[in-house]
Parts: sequence; structure tokens; C-alpha cells
Amino acid sequence: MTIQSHITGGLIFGAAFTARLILFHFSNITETLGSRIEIVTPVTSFTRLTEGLYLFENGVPPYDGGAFHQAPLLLACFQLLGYLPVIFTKLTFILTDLILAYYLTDITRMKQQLYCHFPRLKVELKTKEIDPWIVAGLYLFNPFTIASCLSKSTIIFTNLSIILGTYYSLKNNKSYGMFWIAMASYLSFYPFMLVLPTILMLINDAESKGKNIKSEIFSCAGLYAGWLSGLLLLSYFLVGSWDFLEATYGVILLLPDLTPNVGLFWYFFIEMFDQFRSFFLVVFQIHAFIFMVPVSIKLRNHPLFSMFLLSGIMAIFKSYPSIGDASLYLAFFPIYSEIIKYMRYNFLTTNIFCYCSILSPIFYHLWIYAGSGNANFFYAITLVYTIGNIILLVDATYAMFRREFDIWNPDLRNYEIIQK
Amino acid sequence: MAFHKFFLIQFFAITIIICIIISQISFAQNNESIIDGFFSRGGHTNNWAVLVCTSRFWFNYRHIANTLSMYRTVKRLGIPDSNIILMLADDVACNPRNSFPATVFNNAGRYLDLYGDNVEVDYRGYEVTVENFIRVLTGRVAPDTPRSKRLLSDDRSNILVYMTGHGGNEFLKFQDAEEISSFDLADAFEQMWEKRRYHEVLFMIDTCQANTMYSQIYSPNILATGSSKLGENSYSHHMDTDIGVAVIDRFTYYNLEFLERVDMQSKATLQDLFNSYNPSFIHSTPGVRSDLFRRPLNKVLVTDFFGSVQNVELTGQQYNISNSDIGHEINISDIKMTEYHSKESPRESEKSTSKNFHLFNVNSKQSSSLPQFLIASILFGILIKLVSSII
Amino acid sequence: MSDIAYALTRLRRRRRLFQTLKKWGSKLRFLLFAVGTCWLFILPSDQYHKNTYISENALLPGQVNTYYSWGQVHEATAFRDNITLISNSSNIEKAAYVENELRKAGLKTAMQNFTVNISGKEISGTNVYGVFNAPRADGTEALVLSASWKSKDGETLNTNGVAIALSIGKFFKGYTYWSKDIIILITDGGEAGVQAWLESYHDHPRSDISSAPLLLRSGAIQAAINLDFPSTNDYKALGIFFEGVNGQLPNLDLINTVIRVCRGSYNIPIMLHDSGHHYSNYDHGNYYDSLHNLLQTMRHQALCHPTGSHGLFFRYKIDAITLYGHTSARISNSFSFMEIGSIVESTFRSLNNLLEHLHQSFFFYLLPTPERYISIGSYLPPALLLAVGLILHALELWGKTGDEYTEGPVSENYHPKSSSSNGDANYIVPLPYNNRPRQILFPMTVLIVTHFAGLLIFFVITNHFSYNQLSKIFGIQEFIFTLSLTTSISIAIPATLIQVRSLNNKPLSKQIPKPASDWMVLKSFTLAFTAMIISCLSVLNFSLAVFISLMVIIPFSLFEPTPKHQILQYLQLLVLIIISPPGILLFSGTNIDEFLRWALMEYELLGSYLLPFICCFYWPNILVYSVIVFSSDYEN
Repeated sequence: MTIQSHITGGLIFGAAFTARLILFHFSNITETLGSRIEIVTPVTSFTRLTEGLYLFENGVPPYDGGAFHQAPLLLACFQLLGYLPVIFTKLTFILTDLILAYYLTDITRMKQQLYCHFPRLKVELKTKEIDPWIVAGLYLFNPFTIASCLSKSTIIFTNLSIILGTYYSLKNNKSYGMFWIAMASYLSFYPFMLVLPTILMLINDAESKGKNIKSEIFSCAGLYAGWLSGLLLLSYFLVGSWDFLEATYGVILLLPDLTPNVGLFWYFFIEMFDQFRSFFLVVFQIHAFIFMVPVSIKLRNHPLFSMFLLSGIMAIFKSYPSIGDASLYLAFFPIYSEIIKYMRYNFLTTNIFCYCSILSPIFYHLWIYAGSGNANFFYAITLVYTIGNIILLVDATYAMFRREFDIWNPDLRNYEIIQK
Repeated sequence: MAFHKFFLIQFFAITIIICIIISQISFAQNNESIIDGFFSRGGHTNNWAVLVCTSRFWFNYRHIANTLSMYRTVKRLGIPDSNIILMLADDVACNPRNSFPATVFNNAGRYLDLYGDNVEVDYRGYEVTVENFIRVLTGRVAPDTPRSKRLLSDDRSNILVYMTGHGGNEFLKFQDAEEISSFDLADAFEQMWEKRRYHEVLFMIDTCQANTMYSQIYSPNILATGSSKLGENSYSHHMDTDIGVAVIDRFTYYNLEFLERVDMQSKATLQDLFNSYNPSFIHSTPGVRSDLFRRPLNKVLVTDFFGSVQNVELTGQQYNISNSDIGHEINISDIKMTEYHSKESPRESEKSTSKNFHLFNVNSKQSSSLPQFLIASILFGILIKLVSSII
Repeated sequence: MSDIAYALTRLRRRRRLFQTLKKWGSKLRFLLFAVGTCWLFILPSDQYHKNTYISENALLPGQVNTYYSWGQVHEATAFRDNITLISNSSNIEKAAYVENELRKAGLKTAMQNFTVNISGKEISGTNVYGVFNAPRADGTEALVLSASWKSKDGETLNTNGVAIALSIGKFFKGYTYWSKDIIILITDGGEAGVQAWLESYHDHPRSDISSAPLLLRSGAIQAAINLDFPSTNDYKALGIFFEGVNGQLPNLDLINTVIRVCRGSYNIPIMLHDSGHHYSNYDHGNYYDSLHNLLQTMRHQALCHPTGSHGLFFRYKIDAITLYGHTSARISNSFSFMEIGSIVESTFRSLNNLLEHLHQSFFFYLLPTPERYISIGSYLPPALLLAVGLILHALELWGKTGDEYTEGPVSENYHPKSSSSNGDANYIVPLPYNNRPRQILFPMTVLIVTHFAGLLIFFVITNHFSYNQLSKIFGIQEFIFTLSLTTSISIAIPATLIQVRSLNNKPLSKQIPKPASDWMVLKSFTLAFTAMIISCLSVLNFSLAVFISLMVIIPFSLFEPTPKHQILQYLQLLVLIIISPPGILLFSGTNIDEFLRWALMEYELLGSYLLPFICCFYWPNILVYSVIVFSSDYEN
């Protein structure tokens, strides 16, 4: 790393830090963002966390109010923060974002080292790979990230855990890697599906070193289970009962809170007849998890890419998604910058994201405040948002495979490939 | 001798046959009058009425007025309150918008307050639901339902079912929230028939496209009439500009016009009633469905359904009013009672178990879904293990 | 084999489609623009719109007898005379008179003082209102009958309006059939008074009005009728004003109800706004009158300005309209208290029948005549067509900046194994990495910087009146100061950007393929952005979107750098200046000081978004275009 790159990094992080600090200064911005349903959900809302914290500090079981649905360890964390001045809460969120971005640069570097042995396209030999600081910058200045950070949505801790899990797995630190993934699953359940790509990362390395794969897998799974049960036990000791399981994971899985969000669940389950509810709940949740296996199998040589895909799928199909989830998978995306030239719908997806960001507040306003619209307006726009995400993921997958195909079949690269 | 004997037998046989034939002929002449008498007489011993207004809200004032007018008519013609199930989905009399508080009128002249005295509403407001209506008809009511809310009819009961509200092709809306379809209705009547809950039914409905509502009925002894055919609306008759709403529907209005001239001694028949329908007045085409009904309509008195006129049946036998006979009678009624109980009890027990089962379901929904998911996730875990071991 | 054939035909079809699009793109765009514009002019035509109808069954308009009669008319006349007598007294005295009268009628009454310092002026006044609690209802809902002291021109006293409101209040008290409370509200100080009252009623301060809390409250307000009957004349036609802040409209059922009531009882001619065209029963009117009505509505909507005090109620989800007495129409019959009173009574009886707030009918509509409407499904397509044209253009430019390859025909007889070495040019398809690299850094910078400049301009304008001290030092008027600041920002920013670019514009590297000119990418972005603004805005405020799109589409699609013809470049700049906000103001001959004052008041007091929209979205795009026009073009 040259001095120049250090300066770039410093500039990017400094700018990101100052921008966030300044924006945090305007309390009406953070309040508005903190109440936007696109940004915070019942399972990530800071307001609800404050409610739980208040109950907890006053000796009332925090989950009794029915408003708080977050992991107990967050309570402990924020109780500690409560002893410090208010500014530290804001700093925590800002710093979490910055740390996340920093590890993102490390991941990028490791990915580039990892792939330097991979064959590449002839035309790529001349061009330089993406600067890791740019990856961090793209994450830090993504409007979704900034909005999510300013809203003090606790999804940021899940995102950080996932990034750390990826980092340590790439570093081949089995124990830490599994711990952070367990932490992410503990915080918001869905990252459970990321266990597979993480294990694959660890195995790929072990394979190259000629270790026994089976024992490797078992040890990974064991570590994951161990850490997770450890975290759960810790939580049990913290709040003194197992109520939190139902209040957190129960809420995520059974969807009792139908507050609108950018996902697909809420409208569907508002309209649902009660007798079909359990069935469709199972279908929807299984649908979210079902991608885990085929994606990991197909991309077993590119576990980092399957990490990207799965976090994208998570951001689309989880029960309480927010734009904070999208910011995570969009952070992974530039790491594979070499596939961008293969992507066909950049213009479309960019436009869809722009339209959604503008239209969703407008339609929500028409529905809730002006009274001239209705829920269908907002749901239509969440559908468009979802479709935009899906197009991006499908397009990225296509680009990845097409590039690989071109690498292995250099003489065929002039041909269009059609799936029969 | 043998020949003689044979002849004698033959002779006897012939005379017997002749006698039988003759007697048959004379009997046939008798039978005609018997059959005629059988069909023209109702053959019922009690009358019931189920009067339903399915719409809420102030602007549906007329539906409540319709139903209350019918209520008044059947009461006037002798059906007691105990035999009338009156279902009103709203209480317009006490609506703050009513310029004449605590009254309901069916005419702009306001001659007659339908809500005046002695109105017993059995199902009111949100109790008027499809479920309750079908439960009333079929008798599958909860064990703690009071007698006034039950239709305690038997196989000698003539029942008038009158409905009004907002409907469409083969459905009638209840309360803005749910609807009953013509199939539900037909099945309810069939259940009533199977459970011997009626002798004859007159089904009368005043709603848009009303005639579609009785199109699916398939049980015997049901006569149906409706205000308008498929694709036709059913209109209100006139409005009271002081109250500010329409007060009665056309079909009901012209029915009432006819019924007002009927008293308990009247020999007016349903044929007369149906003949009085004039589509140009009603502004829609009323329909009558009589293919399931066994008696000719010109032999059916209006009071067979709209009134409760007790027929006196003269028997040739004489009842002994001595003590022993009374005891015997009591015995008989005891047996009947037990029979009744034995008929009722299995249903009751069945219902209670089914209800328990339902409750169990409701309770288990909360607790059992989580284990389901846990099992699902464990399955996933196994799957992953398999997959990764293959790799 | 058939699969391959099918796939090939599919491929070919796709190619052909793209080629056709490419070939006919510009013509298609023109067609879309032409169709969109023509469509807009079809809107007022008789065949295009439909008769209005009452959608909410509960309303039953005009179906009750009205009891407002000569006794009440005499009372109203007495009120009118008294109000004329006290017309020169202070606000407090007038309010006290109204309060006294309402109290005498048996209503609970209260007063509210408010002051607000806005756009350099201090507005203060006293609102007075009376609440009649419905005797047989639970008081969770209310209806408002409001009248302002001043008529909508701000000069004439709303004498008859207040008199009728008072007599109606007294008259309603005598009946028991109310299901909602009735609030008689007499506001002071124009729109500020209504805003102050609404904010206090809902306990939801939004603007800088400082007002006393309300001592008396009722339920949730379901609907409001605002009376505006200036001076003491008889009236010829009833004007209906319905546009609210930001182009929001009341539920069509409310307008329909009032019109049905007018038709039913007295057949009073109805006028939309003050257009001068009056309509009697089921009058379809002619094309030009309808066009005029539509244009008026659209103008009001585009300016985001409420056409009366009713427009402020919309923010609180209350449907409201203003009834206005026109004296000038050429009609022989005239009407007065009797008719107005009956209309108001009958309308309130209908509203009294409501079970929930008006929701059945349309919220998005245009009215060519009082009894004909155009729904959103019929009027939105032309606006969207205009936007689609822009998107297509953006897409075309985006494609142009990327793909510079030759496309060969698709061949069917390709077999990977047999002829893999056969490098026939016919098979060649574009390689993704043969695309020209797109340079998006500069365009993005331009977009961000210009929008930041827009924000800066907005900031300068909103602080317009705090420059008092500063402008005194320079001895110039404050609006000139603001104007000079904004123009200097709007000139400096694009000029700097152009300068920076031309400095950085090194002779092209040997990079093959060479990237496309900056302006193309920039124009593509700007067009896509403009299309997005127009299509999103058309949902919120159709009229503003249409006006904006008509104004910018032609210049935005035609303009591009023409370094060879300097004169053309400056001509383009001139057009851009004309369509920029200050240009429009100058050329339309508006008093800029007045306009700024008005726009600021609308923004700060009523929450109109015209000013922020113009500053933060419209103006920056024009600035971007001035950069585009003067950027270098190394394509040719």
C-alpha cells in the first residue's frame, strides 16, 4: 500500500465520518429517518430498542410490552452505552459503519489475492483491479447506508457481524468466522443461511492444504452450534427467561407485526385468510431459505460471490427487510467489479432504485397523510423495489457465469450463448 | 261333483273380483274429494316466520322498515312473537340522524309507527350474520341459546322466510362484511328438510337480482318469490323528505298493499297475491318458483304462511278423559320426549366435541408453529450436511 | 434442433427490435411528444369526459326538505346590517360581536388570538368559533362551517358570508338530527387565521404561527364548507373553489353533493372558480369553456396555491370547498340568503349522513364543467407519454456512449465442435468488454454540484428577509440583493464546471476504444433524471408536471454542444435563460419582489412545495444544460 492510497482511504473515511456527524446533528433528519418504514422495521427500530431498554432498566421483563423484538445482548450493549453521554450512541453507529467499511477493504484485498491465481480474461490483464478504498467509499456513500445509519437502525450490527464473519473466514480463522456468523444469526436469524458459504470458504482453504474435509465441516458446524448456543445461554442469563426466543425469532418467523415495509410479507399476510396463514408462512419462509443450497453448490468455488447473492436474497425475501439489508449486499457487489461489464441491465436497475427511493415516500404520503391513495400504491412500489433487486441479482449471476465461461472457452467468447 | 266344486270356487272368485272392482270405483270417487281436501288444506299445525334485514347504516332505513312492516303483518295475522325470529342489522329508530327519534315509518305519511309497541327483535346489530342465520334455520344453535332465538319448528310447521338487503347474482350481503350465497341457502333448506324442521316454506326476498337467490333450492315443499330477476335492480318505492331517506321498497310495498286487505278469515290465496304483482309498478320483474311445491297455488291460503290460523280437525274417534287414559297419554308424551332427547343428544355431543377440537386448534396454532419451524430448520441442517458431504 | 432454431429466431427478433428502436428512436420520441401534447388538448372535449355521479351511498344529497326559511333570512339580514355597522371596528370587537351572537344562539364559543411574522410582515388576528354539540351523538366527529372576515380578494368584507354562518349556526341548534357536532368558525387574517386555528385544533404546529391553545374542541373534523359571499349584494352565480395547497383536491363526492343540492332546490347557475362560464342543469358546455376551466384548475394546481381557505384543511385529511358568490355573471335571476341558507343546510344534512370520512369517490380528477369529470386514468397517460419520450432518449444516448461495435447477422449453422476455429465475422457478437468505457465521474460531479447549487439558491431565497441589514449597507433593495446572489450562484457554478472540465480535458489517450464525450453521458443522466422528476411529480401534482414537461422537453431533447457554430450555442443559452425561473419571471412581467414575498409565504405558512421544487429540482437541471451546451465535443 502506497502513501497515496493511505491518503485516499483517510479522505474517504474522514469525509464519511464528518458527513454522518453533521447529519446526526440535525435531529429532525434522524427523527424522520428513524420513523420511515422503509428504513426501520419492528425488529430493527431504535425507538423500540429504547422502549425495551427502559423496561429492562426498571426491572420489567423487556419483552412484556410487546413492542421490543430485538436480541437481548443489544440491551446489554446499549445499557452500557446509556451510562455515557448521548453523543456516544451516535458515535457507535458511525463507527460501526466505518469499521464495517474498513473490513470491506480488507475483504477486497484478500479476494484479489485469492483470485490472482485464477485465470483471467486477456483484456483484463491490462486493467487494474478496483481499489479497495473505492469499495469502502461506495459502501459509505451509498445513500441507503447513510439513511440506515442515521436512522439508528440496529440492522447495522447484523451487517457488521456478517462482514466480520466473512473476513475471518477468508482469513481462515475458523473459530472467529463461525462466531461472527453465529452472532449475525443470533441478531436477526436470517444470516443463518450464510453459514454454508462461510463453511465453503473455510473448506476451500482446507482442501488446498490437504486436510480432511469431513472433519473440517463437522468442526465448523460444531463451532457454529456451540457459539450460537453460547450466545443464547448468555442472553438467557441476561434476561432470566426464554421469553426472548418467542419475542425475537418468533416475531421474525411468525410475523405478528404487520407494519408495512419494503418487503413482500406484510401486504400478503394482511390479505391472507386466517386458515391459510400458517401454510403460507411456512412457504414464504422456506422460500427465503431454499436458495441457500443451490446457490452454494453452484458457486462452491466462489463462496464470496454466493455470500453476495445470499445476502441479496436475504434482503429481498426476509420477513422484515429494510434498505439497510440492501446496503449490505450492495457493499459486496463492487468487490466483483470485473463482472460489471457483462451486466446488461445497469441502466434499468439504477433507474428502478432511483424511482423507488422517490416514489415510495410519495406513495406512503398519499396513503397515510393525504388520504388520497391507499395501501396498494405503496405495495406496488415495494414490488417494483423487489423486482429491481431481483434483476440486479440475476444480472450479476449471469455476468459471473458468462465471464467464467469466456475464461474457459476463449474461442467461444464472440458468440451469444442461449439457454435452451 | 268335482266340476261343480270348481265352478263354485270360480263363481266366488269372480264375484269377489267384481265386488272389488265396484268398490274400487266407488272409492275412487271418494278419494278425489279426499285428495282435494288434503291438498287444499295446509296440513300444518303451526306457523313460524323468520324475518331478516341484512343491511346496516342509516341510508338503508327502508330495509328495516320493510322487515318491520312484514313483522307487523304476520303478527296481525296471528303468528305470536314466540314464533317469529326477527333479525335487524341496525337500529335506525335510535340513530341520531332520525328526525323522529324512536320511530320507524314505512310511509311518508307517517300514519303508522312500526316501532311503536311490542316489537321483539331477536337478533340485532352485529348478531345478524350469515352464521347465525343458518344456525337459526338449521337449528344448530349453541345449547345456551334462549328459546326466543331458536326456530323450534317441526314437520308440521309452515315457515315464512323473508329477507331484504343488498344483493347480487346469487348472493345477499350481510352487514357489509359477508354474504350468503344461494347455495348456502339451498343447503340450509335441505338440512331443514332432512331434519324435518318444516312442512312447507314460503321464501320471499326483496333485493336486487332477488330471483337468483332461490334458483339453487332443491328441497321439496318450498315456494319462493323474489322481487327482481337476474340483472334487474330492486327499487325503493318512495322517500320521506323529512327523514331524508327512502322508507320502503317497491316489492314489499305492493306485497303489503295486498296483505293489508287480508285478515285471518280471508280466503285469499297465494295465487291471488302473485297475480297482484305488476312489474310496471314494481319496476322489476317479480318471480315465483313453485316447481318444488306440491299444492296448487290457487288452493294455498295466504294465511297458511302469513298468519297462524289453527285448523280444527274433526275425528271420528272419541277421546276418553278418564284418569287411566291421561296416564297413558303422559306415557306417550314421555316416550316422545325421550325420543326427542335421543335425537338431540348425539348432535349435542358431536357439536361439543367439534367445538373442543376447534379450541384445541386455536390454542395449538400459537405454540406449534415454532416447533414446526425448528423441525424444518433441523431438516435443513441434515440436508446441508448431506450436501456438503457429497462435495 | 428446433430449440436452437427457436432460440435463434428469438435472438433475431430481439436484435431487430433494438435496431428498429435505434433507427426510429428520434422519430418515436417526436411521436410520443406530439401524441402526448395532442392528448392534453383532447381532454376538454365532450366525448372524453364523463358525467359525475355520487359514489358514496350514504350522502343522499338533496333528498331532504330544507327548513331554512324567511324567519332565518330576516335574522341573517339583521346580522348583515350589524356587521356592516361594526365593519370599521377592531378585530377584537368584531370577534366579540360574533361570539356574543353565537352564545346567544346557545352554542359554546371561544376565541383564539394568533400572530405570525412571515415574509417581513406581521399578521395577527382573532379567530372566533362556536361548537354545537350534537344532542344525540357521541361527539367524536364534527363538521365545520367557516367564513373569513375578508373575502378572497383580501379587500372586501365577507359580510353576507359571516351573516349566513351566524344564522345557520343559530338555525341548526334547533334540530336534533345531528350525528356530528357543528363548528361555526369565523377566521381572521386570511389564510394565516385558518392555519392557526387548524394547527391548534389538531395540536400540531407546523409553521411559525404563535397562537393561543384552543379552549374548546370537538371531534375529528369530517368535512368543511367555507363561505365566501362578499359585501351585501345579491348574487348571480355560485362559484366553486376546490384546489388546495400543492394541488391537492377534495373528494369529488363533496363537490358533487353541493352541485346536486344546488340543482335540486333552486337551480342556481354554477361556475368553476371565477371563469365566467356558468352552467345550469347537465350542461356540457362547449370545448373552449371547458379548456378554459381546465387551464384555470391546472394553473392553480401548478402554483401549489389554495384557491381559498378550504385549501388548508386538506393537510389534516379534511375535505373542504369554498362556495363563492359571483355578482358579475350575465344572468337575469339572482339569489340571496334564502337560497344560500338552503344549500348550506341541505349540504350539511348530506354530510351528516356520512358514516366515515369521504373516501368513495375520486381524489385525482379534473373538472371541465361542474358536472363532468376526467379521472386520473384518463389524464395521466399524456403526462407519462411525455416522460417516456425522455426516458427513451436517455436510453438511446446511454447506448450510444457504450456500444460502438458492428453487429453481425445471426447464423444458424454454427456447431461448436466442428467449426470452432471458423472465425467467420458473421458470427461475431458484441463483446461486453469491447464497449467503450463510459466516464461517469464528471457527469455525476456536475449533477451533484448543480443540485447543491440549487440547495444553496433555496437557502438564499428562504433567508431573503434576513438580509435587511446587509442590503441597507449596500443601499439596494433586498430583492435585488437576493436576485443578484442567486444569479451569481447560477452563473458561477456551471461556468466553473465548464472551466474545470476544459482544463482537465487532456488530449485523448490512446485508449481504444475511446470513450464517448462527457456531454452525452451527462445529457443521458439529466434526461433520465428529468423524466423521473416528471413522472413522480405527475402523481403528486399533475398540472405542475405537465407544465414543466411542456416547457423543458423540446429544449432538453434538442440541445447539445455545437462548437462549430458559436452563435447556435449562445442561442441555446438564451433559451435556457428564458426557461429558467428568473427568466420566466422577467418575461412574464411579474413583480419579482411581490412574487418572492408570495412564494415565501406560501412555503413557510402553508407548506407549499413550489419554491423548494423549483430551486432544488427544476433550476439545477437548467444549470446542467448550460454546462452541456458549452462542453466540448470531441466526437466529431
